[in-house]
Amino acid sequence: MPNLNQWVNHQFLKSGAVIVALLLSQAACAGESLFGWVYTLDIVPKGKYEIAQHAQWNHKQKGDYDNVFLRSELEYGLTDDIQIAGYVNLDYINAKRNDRNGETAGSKIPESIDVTKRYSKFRYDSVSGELLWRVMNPYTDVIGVGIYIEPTWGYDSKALETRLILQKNMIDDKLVLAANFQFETERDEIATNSEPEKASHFDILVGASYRFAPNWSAGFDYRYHNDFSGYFYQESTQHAHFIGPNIHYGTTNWWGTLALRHQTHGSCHGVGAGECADGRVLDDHGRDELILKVGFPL
Amino acid sequence: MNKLLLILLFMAPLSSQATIHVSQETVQQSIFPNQKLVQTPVNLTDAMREKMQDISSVRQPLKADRIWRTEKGDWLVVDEVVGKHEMIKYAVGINADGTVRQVEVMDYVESYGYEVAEPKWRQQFVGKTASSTIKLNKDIDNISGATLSCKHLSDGVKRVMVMYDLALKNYK
Repeated sequence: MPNLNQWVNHQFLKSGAVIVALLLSQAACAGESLFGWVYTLDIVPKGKYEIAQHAQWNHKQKGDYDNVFLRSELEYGLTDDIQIAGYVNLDYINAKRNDRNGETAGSKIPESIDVTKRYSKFRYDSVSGELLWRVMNPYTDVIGVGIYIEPTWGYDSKALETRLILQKNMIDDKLVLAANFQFETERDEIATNSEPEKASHFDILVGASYRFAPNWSAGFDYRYHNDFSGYFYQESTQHAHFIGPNIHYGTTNWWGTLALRHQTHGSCHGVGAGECADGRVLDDHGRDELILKVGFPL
Repeated sequence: MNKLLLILLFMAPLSSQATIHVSQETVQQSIFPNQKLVQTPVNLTDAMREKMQDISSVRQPLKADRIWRTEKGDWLVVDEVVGKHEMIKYAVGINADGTVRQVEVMDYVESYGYEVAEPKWRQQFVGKTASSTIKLNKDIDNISGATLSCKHLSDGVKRVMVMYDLALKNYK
């Protein structure tokens, strides 16, 4: 990773986004997440704030590939059933000869670089907003239902993510089953450098978490990922399956979740055919993906 | 400044939450001041436990040795239900006529929802009987940010009252 002096010269500092990031970190974190990637309907109470720091590490493609995505989040309970949030997102990438042809390339790597050499960069990535509306409460209704909207305005991409969140609690609410149907439309300007890439995604995320001891829960996260070219799912370009364990610790003044998922299988099609190798999707995915979330109620 | 410091800046919490711990003696004096309480364990049969679970929906086992009786025939039951992070310990005082005298929260260690220990919320249980609904959002109001705690405490009080009806009401 670059040192602080390198950061000072970096564009995200100039943009002032780092000030926001540090303010968020000072103010300390987000809704308590039992899962690594599956969202639930556990939202911040009305009038309360929480802060969270997320760090996701996507590791290993055909060659060297490490991508760390950092999200600093401030959440606020607007009503009993509506939560809003803001994120500042930072991104670190370190890759060498990572793609299927043994070249240094990928969705976050400019085409202008020497594809035989290592590419390493830490930078400001984007800011995001979030609105989560809990339509039905899993604690009091037969099933929890929520709608999630997250627009992102990025350094080289703009995206709109929506999710339908379902949650079922059982056994005195110690067992939580959750599913997300995620739809995302994205405009990515660095992918081709010459012409922005228009893409859409559809993911199904499923998870289970059981509180096996006071403060401690564990379970799994599963993701069925689908990419398409075009804003409106015109042509399938890739799909992949990820699964892995999660563990969560929560107490009065902080919580933490660690989850790992392994890409068990992936395939590419059409214009995305070049983004697979060894039966896995490369693109901006890793063979293994690790996420750490830490949150602090304020 | 180095990378470690920056990481700490991102991780540093600015606040910490309080906890509630009320002793057994304090609760006894609060609910039954100046009365002598005698520990009175009861035998709960499987059929009783099954009925208690069916009616209250609480699966966490009730410890039947945390029951006390006054000379007047009032009862004090200490129980636990699942909280967001840890168990919530609470006490239910039951008058000899089978009505709830008082509910006290003894241990509460959570990020939110300390209002469950406030008299205003606990007052909702006073006068309830085993035949009362005692259900969140029906005859018990919710507290924003403490839905799980309110739900489990309401179900827990219901379970205690069902147990009273099955095992304590006709105690000789």
